[in-house]
Amino acid sequence: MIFNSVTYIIFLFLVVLLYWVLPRKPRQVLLFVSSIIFYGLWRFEYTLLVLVSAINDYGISILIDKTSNSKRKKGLLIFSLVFNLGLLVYFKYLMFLTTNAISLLNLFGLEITPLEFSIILPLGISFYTFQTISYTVDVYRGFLKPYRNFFLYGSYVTFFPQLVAGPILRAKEVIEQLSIRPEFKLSYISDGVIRILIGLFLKVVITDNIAPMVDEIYLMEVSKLSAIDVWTKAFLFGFQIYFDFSAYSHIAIGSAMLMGIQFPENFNYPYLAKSFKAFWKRWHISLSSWIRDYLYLPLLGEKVQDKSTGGISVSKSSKKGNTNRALFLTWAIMGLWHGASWAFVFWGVYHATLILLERFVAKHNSLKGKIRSFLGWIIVFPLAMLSWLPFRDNSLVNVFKMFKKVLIFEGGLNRSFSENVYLITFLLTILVILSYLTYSYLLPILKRNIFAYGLFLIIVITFLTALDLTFLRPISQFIYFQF
Amino acid sequence: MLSKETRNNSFLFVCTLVGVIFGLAVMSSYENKTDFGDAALGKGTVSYFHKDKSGNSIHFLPKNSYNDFLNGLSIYSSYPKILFLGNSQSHSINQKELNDNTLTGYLYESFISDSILFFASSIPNANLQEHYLLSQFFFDSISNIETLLLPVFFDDFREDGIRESYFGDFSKSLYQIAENNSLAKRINSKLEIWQQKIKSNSNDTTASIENNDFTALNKTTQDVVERKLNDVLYRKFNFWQNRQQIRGEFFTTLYLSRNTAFGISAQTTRKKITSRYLKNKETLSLIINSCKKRDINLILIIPPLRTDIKYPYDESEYSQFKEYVNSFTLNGIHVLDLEDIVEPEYWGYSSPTQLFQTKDYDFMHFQVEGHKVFADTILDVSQNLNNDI
Repeated sequence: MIFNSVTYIIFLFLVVLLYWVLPRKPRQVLLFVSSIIFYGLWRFEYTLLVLVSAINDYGISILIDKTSNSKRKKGLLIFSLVFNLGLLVYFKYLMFLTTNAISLLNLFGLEITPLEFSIILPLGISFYTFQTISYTVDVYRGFLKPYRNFFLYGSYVTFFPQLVAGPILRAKEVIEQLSIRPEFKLSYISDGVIRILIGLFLKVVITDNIAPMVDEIYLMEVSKLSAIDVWTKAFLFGFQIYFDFSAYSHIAIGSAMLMGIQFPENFNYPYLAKSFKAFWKRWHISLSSWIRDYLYLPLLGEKVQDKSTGGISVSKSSKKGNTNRALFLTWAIMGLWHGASWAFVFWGVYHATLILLERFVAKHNSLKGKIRSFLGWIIVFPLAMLSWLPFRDNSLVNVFKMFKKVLIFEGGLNRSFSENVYLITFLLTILVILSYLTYSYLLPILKRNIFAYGLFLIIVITFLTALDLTFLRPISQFIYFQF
Repeated sequence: MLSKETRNNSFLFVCTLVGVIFGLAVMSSYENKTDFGDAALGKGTVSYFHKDKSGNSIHFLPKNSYNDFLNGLSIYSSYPKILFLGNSQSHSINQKELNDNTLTGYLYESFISDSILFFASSIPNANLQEHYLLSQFFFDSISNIETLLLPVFFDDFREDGIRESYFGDFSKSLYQIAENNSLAKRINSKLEIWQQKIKSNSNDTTASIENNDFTALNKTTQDVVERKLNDVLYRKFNFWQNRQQIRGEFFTTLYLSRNTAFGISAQTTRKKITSRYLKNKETLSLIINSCKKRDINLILIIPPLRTDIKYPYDESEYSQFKEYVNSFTLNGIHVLDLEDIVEPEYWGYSSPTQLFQTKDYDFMHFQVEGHKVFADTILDVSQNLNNDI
């Protein structure tokens, strides 16, 4: 089921209503069953896959907990990893791997005809696989006792607000909340509704309306574009993917909030970050912290952090392992997580390079205070936007051509798109800055006077409701569904 | 006694509820029933597509049924034919009176008496790629087309691509351009995609909603549920019926706000967009070559332009454009320069282009007298060219 639909609104209303009416145990059954229905409304047969993945880690984590033999524990963990990653490789990377293998063999003169596959990528597989892996690894690490109540555990893996596109949740962050019966508070409903309205606004009013524009400019021949066109392409898609994905996270967080369940935040104004390190503490926070704790820090032999606070950083005292090699490997995998293509690997390596450069510059940078922050933002914002080119284009040849245009300022300021494209890109930049200022400065002032804040809420919610319902149409999926 | 936190939470809950109710009330109370198809033309300007005495359309808008149009023309199968491809100028009349006709209507009535069929197709802001698709479609579907009349607007050289809003439904014709060039391939694949989309939506019984609204559901179980729910909402609730209108109003307000903020009016210079301009030039060459191959007489028209006030083009860019179109005479193509034929008093006004404005100058559409002059000039030229037309 997709969020930007009438079906979801009615489904959510019914689930929330039942949730607050039912006692504790039936609530867990309700969440599990409704999550299966939620997923099944996409393709029912694929719910089996989610269940198999969940049952596998349910059983293995109990076995890990039972055994005191460390070799056997490790063996069970490896089995779980091979099983989960095997599913991911089969559904997501098989075509990529075989196509590349065949191309390689053809280079050596072996003529092999390309294989044809018709594999449908199960919705959200990258997300729920990471979630089940983290559960088993946490049990193995001793961070967590496995849960015997299958409905409780199953609700954690399949919980519908986050099942398809995150946030990727740690068991510790959610299961305890699912296991208790929170007392009903009106603030859950008002806070949840506001988050959902904001999310729908970002998706159905902004993203869905700029999507045709992005499609059009990415269809244009790269050779005909100037440097300003390439920048505009990068920025406009940068805004599209940000609004689209943060919209999903807002709706996910808001939906959970309606049931009194708190999810960790997944975005925090990433485009206002003053360093790349900060950018990754603000963008897709649950993924970057997952990668840090389950890949990067283990590669370095460092102590993991066990919390979704984002950022891929390593303690300053770290002397273990080869930090740079681990950094590049982690980022290449992070790129591949998004999609089976070399363009995504390039995206990852691009970010790894920027982080490495930043670490180097930071050692020699004597600037301090606001000047440093402002200069940081001026550099990070456009370079982060530029990284979206391989994300959207997928042809590395085109990506290199576009980077070259930017570097040598080819074609200068010659325009190839209609004026509206440049104008909307500019206005979206302003919108991001204004929304940050509103959130950080205006809202705290308004909140000092409950009546002023209430009036502000009424006006904003009136507009959001009218616009969201006016534009609510499942015309496009969320971009992160394809990852 | 309730705690302060509980009181505040209750108050904010009420505010949220009130906001949601107000939002729904705003939508329900919306009453403006503007036809956004004609809104850009201005209140005094209407679209008119001429029909013959039997009620068959002789002026085709690609949004309408291509099948009905072709069937209607089948009674003229033995006639020699003239095809006119234009933009909204050819199907819009300023301050239209009851029996006023467009230039295509007048030309049809004049030519038909000589047993020549004049027929037309037009789309607002049509670019050359769209003209290319339509010309190929008509050349392949209708016999005896001897002449193509093609007005080339400097304005339309700023446009790009085949628009789904006009050609999405047309893709049902299963038509594919037979020529082998990269543009034809691109257009064909677009038509195929739209055709697939229509196929996947063909089981829909909820005619009240636009099929495009469900693209993301793509045959999933939710698709069925969503359509049913939409249909129920559409039938039962005002606010749901008003959605399309409100969307139109929203975009119009955005457009007017943009123009007001940046001081954009109908007279603001519209600069050439180089890559689109070049693409349209390349496409015009394809149309010319296609006409040559098929032995179809092509007449390019530099269309009427309002010259009593400053026109919205960069002077040097516009004169280069005219030079470019005129240069085709060297290749044996007739080029008609009709720039000055419509007198200033025959031009009208368009919708306001800014907030707090009632009207603005119209540089594209004229009153019925303009249509008559246009049609008469074509007829004069056709007589001068004797058998060329």
